[in-house]
Amino acid sequence: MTRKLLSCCLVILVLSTISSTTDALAQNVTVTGKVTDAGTGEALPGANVLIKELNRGAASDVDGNYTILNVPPGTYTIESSFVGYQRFTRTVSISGDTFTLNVGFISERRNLDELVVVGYEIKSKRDITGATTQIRGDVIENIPVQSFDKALQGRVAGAQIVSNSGEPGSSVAFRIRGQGSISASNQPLYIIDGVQVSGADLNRNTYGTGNTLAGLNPADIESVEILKDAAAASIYGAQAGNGVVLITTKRGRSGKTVFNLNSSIGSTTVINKPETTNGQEWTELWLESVGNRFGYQSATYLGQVALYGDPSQAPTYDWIDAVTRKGLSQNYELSAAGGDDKTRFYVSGSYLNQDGHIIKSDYNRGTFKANLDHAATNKLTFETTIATSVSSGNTVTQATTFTNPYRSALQMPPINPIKNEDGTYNFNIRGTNLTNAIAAAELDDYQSKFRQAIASTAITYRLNQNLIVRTQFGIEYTIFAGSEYRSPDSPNGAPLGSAIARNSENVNWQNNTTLNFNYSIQNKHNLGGVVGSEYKHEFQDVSEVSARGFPSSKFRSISSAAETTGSTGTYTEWKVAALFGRFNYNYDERYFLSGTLRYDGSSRFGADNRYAFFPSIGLTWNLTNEDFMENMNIVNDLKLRTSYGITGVVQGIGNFDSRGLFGGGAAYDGQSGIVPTSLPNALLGWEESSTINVGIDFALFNSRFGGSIDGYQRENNKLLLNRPIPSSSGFTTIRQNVGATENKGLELELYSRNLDGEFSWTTDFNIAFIKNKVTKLLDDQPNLGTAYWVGQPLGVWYFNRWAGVNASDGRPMWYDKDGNITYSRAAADRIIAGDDQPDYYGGLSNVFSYRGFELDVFFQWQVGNEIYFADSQFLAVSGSTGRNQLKTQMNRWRAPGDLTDTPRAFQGNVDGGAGPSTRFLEDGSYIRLKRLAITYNVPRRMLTNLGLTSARIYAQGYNVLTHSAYSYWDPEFNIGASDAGIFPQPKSQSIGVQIGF
Amino acid sequence: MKKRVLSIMVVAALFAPSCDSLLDTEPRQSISNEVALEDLAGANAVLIGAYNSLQATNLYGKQLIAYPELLADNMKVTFVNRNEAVTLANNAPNQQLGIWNDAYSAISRVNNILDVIDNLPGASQVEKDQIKAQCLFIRGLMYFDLVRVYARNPRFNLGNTNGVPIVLVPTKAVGPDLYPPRNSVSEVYAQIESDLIAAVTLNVNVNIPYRGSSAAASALLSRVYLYQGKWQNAIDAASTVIGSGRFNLLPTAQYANIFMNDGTTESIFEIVNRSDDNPGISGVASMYLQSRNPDNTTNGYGDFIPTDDLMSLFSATDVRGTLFVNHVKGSQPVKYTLKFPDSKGFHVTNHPVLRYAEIYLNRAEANAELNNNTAALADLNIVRARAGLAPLTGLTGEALMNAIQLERRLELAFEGHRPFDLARRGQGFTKGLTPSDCPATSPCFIPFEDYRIISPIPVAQIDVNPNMVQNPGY
Repeated sequence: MTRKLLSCCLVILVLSTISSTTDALAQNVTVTGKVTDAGTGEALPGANVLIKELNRGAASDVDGNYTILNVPPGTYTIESSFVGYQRFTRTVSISGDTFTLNVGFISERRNLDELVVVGYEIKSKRDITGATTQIRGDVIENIPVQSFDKALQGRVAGAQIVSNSGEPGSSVAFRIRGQGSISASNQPLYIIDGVQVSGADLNRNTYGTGNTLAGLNPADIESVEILKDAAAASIYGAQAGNGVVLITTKRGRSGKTVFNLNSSIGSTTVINKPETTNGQEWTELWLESVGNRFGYQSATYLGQVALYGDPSQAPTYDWIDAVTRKGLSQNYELSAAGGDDKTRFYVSGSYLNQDGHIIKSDYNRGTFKANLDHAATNKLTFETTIATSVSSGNTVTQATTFTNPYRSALQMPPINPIKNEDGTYNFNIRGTNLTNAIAAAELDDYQSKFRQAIASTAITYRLNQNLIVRTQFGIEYTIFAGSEYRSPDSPNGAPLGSAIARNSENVNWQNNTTLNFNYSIQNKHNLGGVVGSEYKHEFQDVSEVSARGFPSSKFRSISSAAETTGSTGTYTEWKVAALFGRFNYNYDERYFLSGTLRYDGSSRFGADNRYAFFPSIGLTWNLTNEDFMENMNIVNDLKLRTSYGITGVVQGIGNFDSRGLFGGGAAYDGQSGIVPTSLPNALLGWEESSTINVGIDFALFNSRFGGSIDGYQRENNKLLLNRPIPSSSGFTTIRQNVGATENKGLELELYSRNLDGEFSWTTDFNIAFIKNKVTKLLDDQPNLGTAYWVGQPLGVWYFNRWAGVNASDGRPMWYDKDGNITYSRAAADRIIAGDDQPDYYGGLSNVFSYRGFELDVFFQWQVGNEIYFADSQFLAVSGSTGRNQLKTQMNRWRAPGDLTDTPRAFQGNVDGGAGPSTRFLEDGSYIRLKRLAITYNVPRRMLTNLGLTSARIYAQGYNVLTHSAYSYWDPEFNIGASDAGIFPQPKSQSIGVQIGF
Repeated sequence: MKKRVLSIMVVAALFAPSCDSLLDTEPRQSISNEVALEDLAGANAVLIGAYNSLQATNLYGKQLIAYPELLADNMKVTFVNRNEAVTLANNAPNQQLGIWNDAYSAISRVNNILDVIDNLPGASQVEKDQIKAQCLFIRGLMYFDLVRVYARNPRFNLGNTNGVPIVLVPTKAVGPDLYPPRNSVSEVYAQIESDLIAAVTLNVNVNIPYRGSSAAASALLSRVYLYQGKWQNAIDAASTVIGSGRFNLLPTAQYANIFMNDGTTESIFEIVNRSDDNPGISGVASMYLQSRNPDNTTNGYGDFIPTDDLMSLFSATDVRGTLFVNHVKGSQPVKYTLKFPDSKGFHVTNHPVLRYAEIYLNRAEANAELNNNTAALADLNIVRARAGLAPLTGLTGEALMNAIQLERRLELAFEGHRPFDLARRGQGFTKGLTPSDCPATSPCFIPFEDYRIISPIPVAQIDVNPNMVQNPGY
């Protein structure tokens, strides 16, 4: 659809700029030529060369030659495109018998005329006044992650993308230009082919950390645009405050049908295994802790010695080894794209199977995609876009429960065997009586299934050369089925066994209707823009049944349960209605002005505050088109941009947050009751984000080197906060628009073609520096809880200061607020000790090619955030609680005079040394060799004999190396959360073959 | 050109949605404030909601039952445990009871009803009275729990007369009423008395003992008077309960049935729990008991066990000394009380709040204070006889009072009375007499003057309410 729109715009542009349109009838011409790679001169077969005005074209043959017969003489725009190359466009006057036009494709690096989807419009990158980043589909294809959002990690300047967990198919935290919201969502608005998708909003349904965006096969993506500032995003109004991510999927091109087959296999493992004590060490620590507390002559101590015996004889069972594994993956994709003058298609199917690197976790996905475009007449076109997927994932108990296997494995006293000698699970756990979480994981089931369809159909009608009207109906339909089964044999389910079945149906339908206009006056004053309306209605129906009483583990369906223990159903809905417009003007392609205005209404907000305006304005000065630049040949592009605008944040805000409500679910004695659940707030409204952006785009030395630099200041006001109110009112909080935050940042995106020719080397680099702070909280209070303080970054660690261990008695020490040593961790002595916002992050990609070989080395980093190692309260207590300990705890204080940072072992953890303090605040900085890939492209001449158009073989490692000082599994997990119970990140290796024919 | 601009406008207007009705949505599992309490069904539903709040683990689901026992000298945490209440059992600073939010939530629920009950359309006076009496009972109970947890006993206040804020009307919007200061202890007790007396006066006794009846209000009133040293009032209120003839002590042989069976004639008020209710595994039943079956160690947590000190006080014939099951936890031999015996499935059992035996003990104590020694001994011996103990004779003065307090400790053990009974008599406690109860490294005697005898006002409440004053020491 985007291409169609564009071509319409182009036609208009062309028609209005070409003054000498010829009407003369003359003998028709044969247009012919050769399609080649402009760099290597290699012929490119299967490229479609199109005469725009006639909507006619031909595909190049095996030798790259094409011929279009019977072309009336005249001036035409010849277009051609080929995967991996820049779009070719040339305006030519055709006359004579034969007209030869060779099409030389320039390898696709950066292209100033790149087309960018900017929201209800497609524009040339040249005309953009806002800050945007485009990622081409080939950058993210073949990356061994299940969703495109993860594949974007490190690729976009100013987007901090952090996997919420390492579970296959899991979601990410996607922060464009920092974190502006405290209680609302910081996730951007995702739009797939014009359909706004619920994305993260639906993820809450899943077990584990499932990601609805994983329903889209990344290989189907043509490009992703990230709209970062208000000028780019504000046409999406109240939903655009966190930026917008526009995903455009691949569409067919007229010409020979091109098939693409891709297959890969691989495996994943955990990046790092924390080192814990063995059986001997555990026993030694435990007995020491009992002895230290009760005395080495006490009956208690002697009883423990009798029970656990000589530490040196204690056995060791490796629970961590038992919960981790090598997870195998396989991925198959087949697509076909082609069409004729009138109708074009892209269809694809894929299957992915990924076993997790933790036992019992996996992810399976099948997708089917069909994009069809049809031109009924010269003026009327139809587009249909369908993406469906079926996915399912198994997982294990997660988060901070003790049946979470990868958490529990670290804490399990290693003297306990996993299974008894007869092969049954060992439930007689000695030491701290943790559950046998491996048994729980293997016997129980937690499964999430998604059936998703994102579909739209659009009708475009070209009223005349200047006006195009378009209406699109879109639907996102998701069925989620979750099931939870706790076996009667497992520690979670014993003795009866229990199950939960959950179903939710999510329907998100929307319509937008737009009128695009384009005028050019005397070739100097160029006007364009769009006006339109949008309506969206999203609803969700959830039902859940829980039951218990299963005859045995063989019966796993909820229908075999003896007794229903609960059933609930919820329905919720959300509506959006909006009018919007964008007006673009440029004078002589030198001075660009763009303004947008959206009038947005949302049902989520208070009756007195349902609608608001979201304006923006952007200015660009394209210096390249100035006369004084004419002779500066080294500068291919130089553009100064500035913009200001206001957007809103509604994501993550409850559908009925503004209402005073009584809710159900409060039963007593078999009767159902209702209770007041919220206080009304008729003034509840949007969070408001205003951004000033100043940027420069440049390209030098024949576009070999270039990039963008953007500086911005983003202020979020009217933050929705749960204002704590005295609970003597019966409520603990009320939602109000108070509070403000500020993000200031500098973003650099640079590219460089270092070497051209047979051996080529290109570099892409991006880095974003960001300063983030809270500027206002409730009633000018200095803090909200302990995480938010005015003048400090969002999410600080408010901790006591660790002062080490008293060398004479082994007790932990802290500093009080005056800097004196204290032995109690008093709340009043806490200070702001760190924050979880990185100072800078980015990515560096280097691609080396030699003949058919290509090596991609991609680093990604994040620097300057602190992580609280929350599970230290169990794993680093000097053996004082009978749980397994990190190996570092062997350094505990033992005798007066010992100089160590690890307190004495003291049963019951009475000293409190493992409580939150700077002792466990760690540097979260890391740099990863994110991707190391080697690809061999079989030369075209070898392929021709095989009847292939392309073939490549690739091998890659993902998350290959990580450099970090962090002592737990991995420093990457969802921002601001505790690492306790976070599914660790994987590293993976895979090999694949990709064939085009 | 003009024509085109016009056509743009026409098209835009065509697609422009009409703004008002387009955004209407209505929740389906919640209802708005205006309609929630407009009829009898609504008032009854909110009343159920109020009872539901009493089930919370922060109230009678666990905290008000188990945590007081750990704070004083009746219970301790097992050697191997899930790390709940370990520091609380060690009387660490700031590790006291935290019932504030849930108690006020319950109060808010009944305040919503009391606000409209007198003018409720379509309800008879009897129906209104039934709801009203229960609301007043719940409110009285919650203020009583708040004032005994967060404030000094009025007789031994050490100069600290701060009670808790009294809120009697529902909060409907944000306003200055949102930030109440602490009322004095005497004002809070006056409010409790007023609510409970009103509940008694309404003379409503429905669904005994699962609902807060007028009898329950009298029973609670006898305890409330005892806490204030209003001895004669305590005697009168207790006599009202005893005189009602509604309740009986179960025979000695059936002592366990008080707890195994629902709604015995000994129960004046108990919280009903069903398998689909919370508190489940984190509730008191799980914390007190792994399983009634000594070999089954996989169900409840079984982390809270009686102190050696308490166990040593049961004489051989005391039926209450037999209400335990022996287990081995880790390597530690433990006794679990069977007062919360998973009677309806694992962790599911009704939780007693007011038991008839307590009423005799309330009256005995008040009589002893007034030197009505004969009457006091008579009531004491009723409780002793039922426990399987020989009657006591001839006791007076301190000896009599000690006997009554010992009986109270044994009869009501594990039900959440102990530290409050000590504090209201100006007594501290020894955490245990054996090293296994209190290791040598911990301070084992806590005098009643210690600041930890009353709980800190939640820090969040201090932060959010400028009129709130913290208890000394925190």
